[in-house]
Amino acid sequence: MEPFLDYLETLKELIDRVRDDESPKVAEIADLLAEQVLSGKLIYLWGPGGHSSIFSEDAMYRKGELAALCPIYDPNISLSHGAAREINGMERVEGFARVVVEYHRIGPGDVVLFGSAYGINPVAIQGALECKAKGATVIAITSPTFSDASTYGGARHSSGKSLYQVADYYLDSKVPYGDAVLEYDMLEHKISPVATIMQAIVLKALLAQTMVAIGKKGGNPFTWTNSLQAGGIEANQEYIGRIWGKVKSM
Amino acid sequence: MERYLSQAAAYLPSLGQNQKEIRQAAALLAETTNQNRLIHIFGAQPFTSSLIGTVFFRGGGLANLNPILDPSLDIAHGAWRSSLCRDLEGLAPCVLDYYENIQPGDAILLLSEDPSSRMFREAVEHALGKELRVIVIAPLFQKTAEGCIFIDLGPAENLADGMMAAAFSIVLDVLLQKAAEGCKVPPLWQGRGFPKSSSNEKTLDAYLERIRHL
Repeated sequence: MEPFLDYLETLKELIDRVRDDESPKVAEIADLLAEQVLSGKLIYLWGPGGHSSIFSEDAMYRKGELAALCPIYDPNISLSHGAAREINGMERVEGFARVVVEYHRIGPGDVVLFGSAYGINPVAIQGALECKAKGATVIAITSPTFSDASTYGGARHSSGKSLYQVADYYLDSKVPYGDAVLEYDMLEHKISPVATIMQAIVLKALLAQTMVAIGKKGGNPFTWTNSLQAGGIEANQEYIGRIWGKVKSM
Repeated sequence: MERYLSQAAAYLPSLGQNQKEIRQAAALLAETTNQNRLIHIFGAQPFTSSLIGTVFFRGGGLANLNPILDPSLDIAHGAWRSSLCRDLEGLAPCVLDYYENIQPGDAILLLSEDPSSRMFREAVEHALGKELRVIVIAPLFQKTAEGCIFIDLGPAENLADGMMAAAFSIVLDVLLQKAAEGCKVPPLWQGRGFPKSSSNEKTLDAYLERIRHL
């Protein structure tokens, strides 16, 4: 029993499964995202859930990351104004998804990349449905295994559907049901969740594939420079000016 | 300026018609305070939510005032966004249920410039369901919910032309001042050197963990 190593080994196994099972799907999705960027559009990125919101935040204004993203962090659907407020309440206010979609003016021809490991909460499902109703394409990074096994009836969308069932495309992050992965005799419950890490890994891999796809098509995707390094702020400033106002989280 | 002052002079004295309700409400708030309970205050639209700042954590103000400040209604997160939230089904109960410090028997002040909004109607209903003692401050509130003390700001059109902030502020200031006067030992923030003074430190110790936004 070596919990530190056990955790890392479990992550390695999950990553291997993502590599083996999801790689065939990635090219098509990355191509779609690349075309979006090459046409001058931004890719919306939304983690519609308490911890899921970290998914959007992590990609924002990061050294080496694709800048043509519009990460959505809504204070109602994040942990920043109270974890219990969000998880026990806000993500179950189904109608709030429409507020987010309308406020960010998501419309025909847009692509929205959703990240929700559990893939069941009402705002996430309703958000995907609202985006599709507006004519946008929905791509999800989620765990169907988790969604299918979930018995969290009180926390589900009124349709009973899961994110992978309403998305146009999805990548499976392989988060196991229950999220926590380590089990030891002296502890009553399983410990050590993996959802945030696995979701972020799949996202990072997909965005890497997308940036290279843009390059192969003759484009040169703008990526962020570390603003802490000398000249970093200046290197980013022109692009910030281009998306300022459009990307509310900038 | 003259026009504004004339309108204010014509409208604001009409608030005096609420003297009986203000006395009742002040007595209720004093009783609540004497029982060491909190007085909750919730503005059900972006504007009324921001008005809470005029009475919360102010020198001379009651320290047991517990503001319910939700990002849904905070214009810092988007003015249009906050207006989209006004009519969301289920949002008001979600906001009120989050505050663990709301207990049956507590008093709550519900402010609204638009009593027809779903946010406000659900807030009244939910507050009564939680056995709170409800004081409503609003223009021409249709008394659909029995059991509230209603302080009437008059016809909604009176609140146009910049009169709204004045009306709400006057009623809140008068009400909370009268409530403090009715308390045995009112827990007040001390105005001199506010917020830094030794007596405020004790008050802070008493309320810091009880009031989320302190």
